[in-house]
Amino acid sequence: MEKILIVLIVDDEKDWVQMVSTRLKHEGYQVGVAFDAVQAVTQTISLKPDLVLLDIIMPAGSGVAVLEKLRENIKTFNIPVIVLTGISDKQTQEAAEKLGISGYFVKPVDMDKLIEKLKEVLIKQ
Amino acid sequence: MLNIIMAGAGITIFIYSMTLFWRTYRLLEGKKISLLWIALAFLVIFFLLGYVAFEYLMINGKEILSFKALVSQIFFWGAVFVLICAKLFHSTFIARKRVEETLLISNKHLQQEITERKRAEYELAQLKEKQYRTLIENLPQKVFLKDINSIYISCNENYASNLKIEPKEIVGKTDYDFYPKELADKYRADDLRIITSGKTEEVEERYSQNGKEIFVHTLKTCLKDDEDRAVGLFGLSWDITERKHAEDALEESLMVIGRAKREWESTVDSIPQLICLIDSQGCILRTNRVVEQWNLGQVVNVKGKKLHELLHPGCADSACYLETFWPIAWEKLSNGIPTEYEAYDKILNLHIHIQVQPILPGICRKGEETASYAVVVLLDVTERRIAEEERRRASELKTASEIKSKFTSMVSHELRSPLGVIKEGINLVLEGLAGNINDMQKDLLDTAKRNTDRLSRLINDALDFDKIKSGKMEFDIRGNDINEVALEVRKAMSLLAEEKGLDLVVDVDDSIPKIRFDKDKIVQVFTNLVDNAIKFTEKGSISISTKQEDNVVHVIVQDTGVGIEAKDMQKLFHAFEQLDNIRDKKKGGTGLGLAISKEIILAHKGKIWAESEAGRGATFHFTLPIKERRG
Repeated sequence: MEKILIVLIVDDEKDWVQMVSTRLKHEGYQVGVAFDAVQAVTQTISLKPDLVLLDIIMPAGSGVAVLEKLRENIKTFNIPVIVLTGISDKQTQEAAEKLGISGYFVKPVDMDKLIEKLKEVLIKQ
Repeated sequence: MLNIIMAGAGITIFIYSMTLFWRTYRLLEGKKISLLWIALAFLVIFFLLGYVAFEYLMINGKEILSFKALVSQIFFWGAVFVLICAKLFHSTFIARKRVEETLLISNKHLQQEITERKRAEYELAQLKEKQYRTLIENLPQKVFLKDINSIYISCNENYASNLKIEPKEIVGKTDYDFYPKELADKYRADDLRIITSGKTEEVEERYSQNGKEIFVHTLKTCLKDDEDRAVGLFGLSWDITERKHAEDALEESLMVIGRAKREWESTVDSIPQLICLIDSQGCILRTNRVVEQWNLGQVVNVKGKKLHELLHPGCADSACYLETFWPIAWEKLSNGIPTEYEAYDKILNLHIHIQVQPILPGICRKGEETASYAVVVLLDVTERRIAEEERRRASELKTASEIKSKFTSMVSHELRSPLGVIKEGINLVLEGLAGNINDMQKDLLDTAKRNTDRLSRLINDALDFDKIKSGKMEFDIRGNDINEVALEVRKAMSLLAEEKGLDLVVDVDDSIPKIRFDKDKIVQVFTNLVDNAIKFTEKGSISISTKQEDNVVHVIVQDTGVGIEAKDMQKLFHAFEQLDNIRDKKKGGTGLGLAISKEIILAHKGKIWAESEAGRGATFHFTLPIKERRG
């Protein structure tokens, strides 16, 4: 039986989370959500998702900080992360890439491309 | 009886005559005494004769009248004669005696007088001589006397000591005894000249004595006797070395002072501010030369004028700031507070900055205890004011621009998120994930989707443009194939072209090597150009071609559309210049596409331009350098 893959969506924009989760659910994934940096870490540890869609700017800490924590934690260090953010500056992208990410998307995102990338990453897993 | 009387009278006369003789004798004082004695002898004889005769007559008792009378007559007349003689004698002698006496006395007086005068004169001469000697001796100058042959007659102590001799020793000597021949010759010549001309000469000479420089002032004058004949030479000389040094020092100090004054004046004159020294009444005492510039080059007499009179000649406005500021400034100044004042001068059309400083007490004029003067500095700050104004405006503009930039950035970011949500929501519904939809619903959602896409593009363009303009656009330049990009663009745009029934032709030059550019950005430019071409072309074709030219890759996007009017060509690449607003809006343009494209191409050191004629389509060109030029 094919394992249902879990994707954790981290974003403080709840409407956006709703749209993405609807889409991902339709694509057949199980979706977890987190609305801030703290939840992001705890949910990742508890849900053990197969992939994290991570926003950068949110309450209680930046996405880069979350990524750092995930990479430090033995339980989460190898979970693939795709950054999906409104921030398009190079420094942030480089900082995230240094910590190991599978993709960097800037909003507004072409949902098809995102799904494509998601599938690509998950297949590798 | 008569005889008796006559005899008596004769006797009386006789006695009287005797006294007269006596007195004459006394007068004669032994001189011519013999004469007297003779007279006296006569008298006695006469007397005796008379007496004998008388006696004879008396004895005889007879009167011989004739004889008696004769005798008495003789006697009497003899006595009278004697008396007259005696009287004459006496008178003569008395007169002579008196004259003699008078003469004698006056002679005596005269003699005495002469003697006294002579003595006085002598004494005076002695005194004068003494005084003269004393004077000469005590004169600090060197004094000498020479005769007409230039031989020394005398000199004072100073002169002698200078020659290292005693004053007495100089008598009979000449200059040749004391000075070198050359100098003595000169002195001799000088002396002769002065003696000949009879004039006085003064000369200043310089000597070297014991290695020191000595200045001597000499005055030589010709001595003359009462008949104006030259009898000698009087010389007076004194050391003026100290005076010379003092004069030199004075001259030096005057020069130093003069130089300092000039330096200071030119310093003050070269200060661009108008500097005025002003008294408590506001009257100018002095200004620097800048006043000429302020008065349009007219040299005016500034003294006693007020600033208002100086700078606004002919102006009768008593409320002028130059009049009104002074009492206030002076009031402050008397409390030791300097004042500054700035005003716009309507008459001079200048912004003027005025500084009022109290003058230091040390500069007060003689007899004044407190500062009664002020320094007023006027500066034309018009340029500064204008510059400040410009800076302020620029700063405002910059701030405004920054605010706009921030605003654009913020708004764009903030718009993106909800837009993404709306777009995704529409997509989900359109794709039927929220259940089936009918055609009408689909139509409406399509319109909504199209508009969200347009809004999304607008936001992206605005952000891009802002980034480019603020220099924040980052380029990822690496080796890329332009033909590949052209093909990709065709692939992406072909659907759009097909929808309008347009052909999208690509003609690439295969020889083009890989060149360095930011692929995403060039795709953006390409897409923008093709997108525009499709938008403005209703029928015909769009062709994309690439070719290699001298060191550049030339990309051409050509359409058969409406073209561009000549008047619009210039503003084509300007931001927010939509050529035909209404039509362009229908086409969903942002008005930024070409401006962004231009900036991207320029950032790649390429060129972008367009060729078109209204109604005959448009051709857009851009070039990219094959080898990136460095520097």
